[in-house]
Amino acid sequence: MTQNAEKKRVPVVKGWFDMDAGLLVGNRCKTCGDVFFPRVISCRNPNCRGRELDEITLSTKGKLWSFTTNCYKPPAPYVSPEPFVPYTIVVVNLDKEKLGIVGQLAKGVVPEKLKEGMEMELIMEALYEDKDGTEHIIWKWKPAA
Amino acid sequence: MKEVAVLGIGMSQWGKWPEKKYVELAKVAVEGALKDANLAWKDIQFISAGETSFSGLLGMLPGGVLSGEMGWQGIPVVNSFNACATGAYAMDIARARILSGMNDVVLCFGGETAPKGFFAPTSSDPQDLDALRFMIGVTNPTYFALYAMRRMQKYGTTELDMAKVKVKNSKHGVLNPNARFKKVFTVEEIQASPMVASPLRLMNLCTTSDGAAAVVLSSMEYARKHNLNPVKIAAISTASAVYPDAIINVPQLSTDSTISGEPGMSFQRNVAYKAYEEAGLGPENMSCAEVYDLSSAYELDWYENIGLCKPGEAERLLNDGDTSLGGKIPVNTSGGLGAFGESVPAQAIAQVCELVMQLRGAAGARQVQGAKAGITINFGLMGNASSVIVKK
Repeated sequence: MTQNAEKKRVPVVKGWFDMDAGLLVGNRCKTCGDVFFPRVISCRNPNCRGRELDEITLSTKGKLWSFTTNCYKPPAPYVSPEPFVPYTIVVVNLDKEKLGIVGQLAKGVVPEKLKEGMEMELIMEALYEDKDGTEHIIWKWKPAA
Repeated sequence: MKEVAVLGIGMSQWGKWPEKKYVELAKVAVEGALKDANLAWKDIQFISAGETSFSGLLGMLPGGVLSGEMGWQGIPVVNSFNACATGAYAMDIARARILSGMNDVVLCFGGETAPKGFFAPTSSDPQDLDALRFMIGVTNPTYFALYAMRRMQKYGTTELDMAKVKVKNSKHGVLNPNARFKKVFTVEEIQASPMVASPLRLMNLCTTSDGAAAVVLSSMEYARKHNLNPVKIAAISTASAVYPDAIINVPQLSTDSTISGEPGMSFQRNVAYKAYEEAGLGPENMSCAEVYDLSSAYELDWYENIGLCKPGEAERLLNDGDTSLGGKIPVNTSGGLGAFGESVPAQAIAQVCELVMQLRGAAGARQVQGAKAGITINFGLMGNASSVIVKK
């Protein structure tokens, strides 16, 4: 077993994703079919206002809409390694759900490999590790295999 | 929509003064606007103030803070906050008071002293979306970089095009005594500035500034009674977002789903077209424009969204010099946010101050010859945007 697997892992935010299944959690309106991420209490489509929603998990693949590499350390609550390391933010459009999701690019992927429209895949990865060695997990994106 | 008169305009110098309180700057702008309107503090019947989010409780109550400085006189005061469009909403409230006949003369102002660097969230609880997006590293420039990168991929916009926007606005700003940055930048200097969020370099992004702006508005009847021939506000559009919004906007981490229907006119375009509709004017009637150049690439998007050209043609408009002083439709003759920086509650009012100077023929070295009408655009988070049309 690798050392990594023994580390305690906690989600950065509750209710947005299933860390162990590696899936984003949203919901779908039973009336109009629109999908929401993160989950909503009632349908946000003003032409619908449905009250009943099904909890769903979202597709794990989509197309890259745009991307940028941040070269400056953001303010807290961003937890930065010292010294700061630039990181890439991407927007991926899910074909089935017809919505876009922002996220970090997975570790180890060089942004030079990115091209608009390319297929991307969801993964769960540590956003940062705290001083107790606990990994704080968030969804990220990487080019699809 | 009936028009209201702009009797007076006033601005403070914009800059960075950590030791100053926002009300000091606001007072300079308000006193300037009163003097310009040839009115006294006691002539004001209603105050519509734009809030600042950086000065705690007293930042939420600027109308009262100013009244305390100038002398309370029993008139009603309203404070409002609508992100980057705050100043336009303050003017919209003032206009409603005037057009309803409740008041003849109303003061609108906004002033701010902002901290240096990135705008930061006020919470660190990940259940707060604004905190969560900062935890993931999605700063405000990130959104503008995503749009810029998209624009480059879609229309072939180059880093040189973006640099030229900044060069243009710096050439305009150097002619404006109230601008913070009074230096003409070169393409080389801009392209040598550090990368913040690719493809946007430091000098392609606007900074946070301390500054204030004010206007005194009145009914047309009041203006006529006093034999004035003022510049008029022909439209104030404060259209909010429309579902489904397929563009990632600050501070969202996702877009709406378009399963049940494709989006109509984009939020960005809708806010301007609502203003044109209200004014009964079109892009072809505009002599100049003050647009929200939070980034150089974003200014190019606005040329298209306010109808100065078709999508994908903004670079040609820029490179032909059409949007420079002396061109067909000069944009950001004030120097824009590039030369001023953002002072959130003041910027939409400052844009109107510039257009009023242009339409009065009082813009000095920045004068657009024969200016008859102009449009402004501001765009903020959580569905807040504004467009004001001013005409002779």
